[in-house]
Amino acid sequence: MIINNKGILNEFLNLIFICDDFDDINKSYRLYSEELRNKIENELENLRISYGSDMNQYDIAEIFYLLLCHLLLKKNFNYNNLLEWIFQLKKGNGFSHCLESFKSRFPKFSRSTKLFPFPVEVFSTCYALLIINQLKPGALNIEDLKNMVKILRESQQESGFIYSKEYSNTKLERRFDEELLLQTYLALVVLTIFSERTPLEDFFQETSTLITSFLEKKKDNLPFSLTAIYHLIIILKICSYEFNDDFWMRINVRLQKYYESNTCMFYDYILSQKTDERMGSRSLTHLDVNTPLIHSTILGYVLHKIIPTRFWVINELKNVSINDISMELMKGKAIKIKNFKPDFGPKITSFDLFLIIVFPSIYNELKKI
Amino acid sequence: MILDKYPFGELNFLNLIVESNGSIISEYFDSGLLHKYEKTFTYQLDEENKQIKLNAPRSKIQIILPYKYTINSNLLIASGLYVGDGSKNAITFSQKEDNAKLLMMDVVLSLFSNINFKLFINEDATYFFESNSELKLEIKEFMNQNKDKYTKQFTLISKIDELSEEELFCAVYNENKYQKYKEKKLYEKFRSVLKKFLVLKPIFEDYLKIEKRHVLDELKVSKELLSDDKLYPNVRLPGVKGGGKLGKGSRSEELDMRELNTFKELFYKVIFDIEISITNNISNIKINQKPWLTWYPSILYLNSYRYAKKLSWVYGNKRIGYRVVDNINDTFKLKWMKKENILPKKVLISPLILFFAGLYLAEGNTPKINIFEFLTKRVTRLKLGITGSEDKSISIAINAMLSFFGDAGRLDYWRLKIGSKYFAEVNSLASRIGIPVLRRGPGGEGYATPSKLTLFYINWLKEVYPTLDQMNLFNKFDHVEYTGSGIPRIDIFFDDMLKYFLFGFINEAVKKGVILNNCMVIQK
Repeated sequence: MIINNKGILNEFLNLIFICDDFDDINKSYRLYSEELRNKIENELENLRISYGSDMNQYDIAEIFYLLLCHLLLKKNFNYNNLLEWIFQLKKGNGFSHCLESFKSRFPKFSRSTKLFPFPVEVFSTCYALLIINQLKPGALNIEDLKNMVKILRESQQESGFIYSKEYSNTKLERRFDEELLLQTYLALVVLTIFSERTPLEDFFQETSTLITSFLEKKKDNLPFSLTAIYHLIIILKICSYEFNDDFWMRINVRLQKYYESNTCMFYDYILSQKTDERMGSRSLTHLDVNTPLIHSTILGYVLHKIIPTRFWVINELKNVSINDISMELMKGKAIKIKNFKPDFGPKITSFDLFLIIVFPSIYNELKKI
Repeated sequence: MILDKYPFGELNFLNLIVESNGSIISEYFDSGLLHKYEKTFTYQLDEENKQIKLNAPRSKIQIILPYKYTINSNLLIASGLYVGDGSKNAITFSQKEDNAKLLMMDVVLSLFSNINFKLFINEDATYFFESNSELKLEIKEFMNQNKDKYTKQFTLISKIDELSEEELFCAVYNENKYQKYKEKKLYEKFRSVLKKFLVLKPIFEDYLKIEKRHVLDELKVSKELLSDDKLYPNVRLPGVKGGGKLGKGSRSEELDMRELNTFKELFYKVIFDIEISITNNISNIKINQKPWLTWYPSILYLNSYRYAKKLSWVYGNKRIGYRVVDNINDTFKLKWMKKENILPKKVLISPLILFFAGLYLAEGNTPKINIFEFLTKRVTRLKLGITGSEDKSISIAINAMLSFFGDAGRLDYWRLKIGSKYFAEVNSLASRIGIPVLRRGPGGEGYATPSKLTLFYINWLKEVYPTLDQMNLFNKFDHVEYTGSGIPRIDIFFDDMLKYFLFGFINEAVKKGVILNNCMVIQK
């Protein structure tokens, strides 16, 4: 087991191409104006408070990014309560994503979920392992940790993707690309952090071969959303996949389609590529509203750090103030869905905030290119 | 008292048309879209017969309206039906169930006489094949009985292996459609029957037409109302209409009343103002009381106690009914299996209940044919629930059930369904949190996790369905499903033991049943 003294999360950020150094983010963050920093920190406090009272509302992914934000900004957070909460999620050799008491909010909440507890899932186990080993390495029994890491690896399916089938018998073709890639990405990150790399070489190679061949059925051999593309590239990077020019060309072409030049932001998906799952036909999208989102915008820029044949957007970014872009992002970007006025989900999430906090360090690196 | 003879209110066409100088304006919000209708008609008054002769601009068609039209149960049920299953752009009504279509024709004719109807019968080609790609037995028999008529098809079928798929396709459709169909997943899935379908399409369509004629004859529908040349069968390419797999069909029928299209502003005004007025009455909104639509104070009651005693249906091999026991305070105990509910002995039959009956026929989760057959035939799949993508239809359903069954009619639970047109947004929302969207069941239609998404949906639903919030019904939330292809919508469910009572009422209200009419009382 490798436990990094600088903290597991530094290694995590490194692996996912957000930054090379945890401390560097804090320095770059000072690029933001005081007004913007206050806005970010107020929003962070609002999110923390909103989770404060009701443990049922906690979701492990949200908590993970909330913790990251606090660590990056060196802010206080009640870590003891957090650890206690996470250990309540532990079930056998994994973690579920929220407390069983969530169901008490909805007495009628599916009869099926009443009979079965919330399942242990790959993504929730990964987030839990990262949190525990950042805050208190050793808090999780070493045998438990080894077992969980082993089970994560064993959760790899024939398709190459890593997910738990124990509670869900949904066919591969009916699972969302976003689900498959996010869970596999998290599992590979955790495997890389907590295992020796050498015995995993073959495993990684096989994983990249299987996943790229699965994607051959997709348009441009790529998944639908920008977030999924980002996860795919991190997966392939971890697997030391030999990228060729054609691959990067396809990524470049796709990124241009996600880009919205008026605002220098990125959409998470391309409207014209929306398809009906059942029919495989294009959806009618004339009434759809596609909004460039915070996470897709910043992940779009992170991708520019990774791809070798870079897209002209970097030059545009150099001419725009990071304060201006982030100030616009901090207004919040909610998803709008066809035919409905209310926002579909919140305007800002803890993952969005985390990305806004790390954005200046990404911007600095892009400027150097 | 005969239900459909009872006057619930009146439409004052004279007020509507004369006071606006022939200008008819209405607005309607449906599936997230605001529809606006506006047209100015010319009119002449026939004072002797108390009729209005109405002409649309640039149209030779004239309709004759009475000064006043009595709102009866048929119009109320038909309004609910049209709101659920009718088009909001052209006057067409999509409903497979024949009794419902007949009621709609009846109402339209009584409002606007001399209207010609057309019936489009749509089916997926998958319906005509067995799972092994062979033709269904009944189709083979039909072909054999009509050998002489289909010689061309018989010749083509005998040498089908030699025929080119592309040529056959282009002979029926065109090259462009062929290329588009080939791009679909369905193409490979149903390729084994594609050539046969292209050759036999006219036979399949004739089969549908003759099948429908038999059903209409059994229902004693006159040929003047729907003659054979007004039946338009249309068999679609395999899978395109949603057949799913060979042997399974996806039938839909559309009653076309487009002749009325030049007067659609008036037709929609009638249907939608009835719904709006009923919804406003629920919410006690007194403003904008339309002088052209007035409700009479209703004094028509259903003797529920007597009706529950008399109602019987086919269950297994026998006829059975509820067990009914007297109770205190003008109530009775309704018992079914091990369950029981306390119901009021008398229920006021209001426009709300009758409108809901129509809405249930359109949007209810019960196969409509079962509602019309369960009294006389053994049927399965009777579930008491209704789907709504609009707050007003959910509000109507919840309030109608309460007014019909008292406290026993309260909502049991509800769930959210999100269709595939919205999967991109759902996945983006999950990505913004850093979680995957997890589904259950082989096809992914089962209940979904993670729960954090559910909390976001709940917040969103509070704005979309304020009725659920106002009536404190969010604690009755059950689960989320990613299923179908349509707009996010909710399914609400009620105590299942009430289904026989409700379906019996709907059945007889549409078919003018004797038992129901015997249980109607007027009480001042």
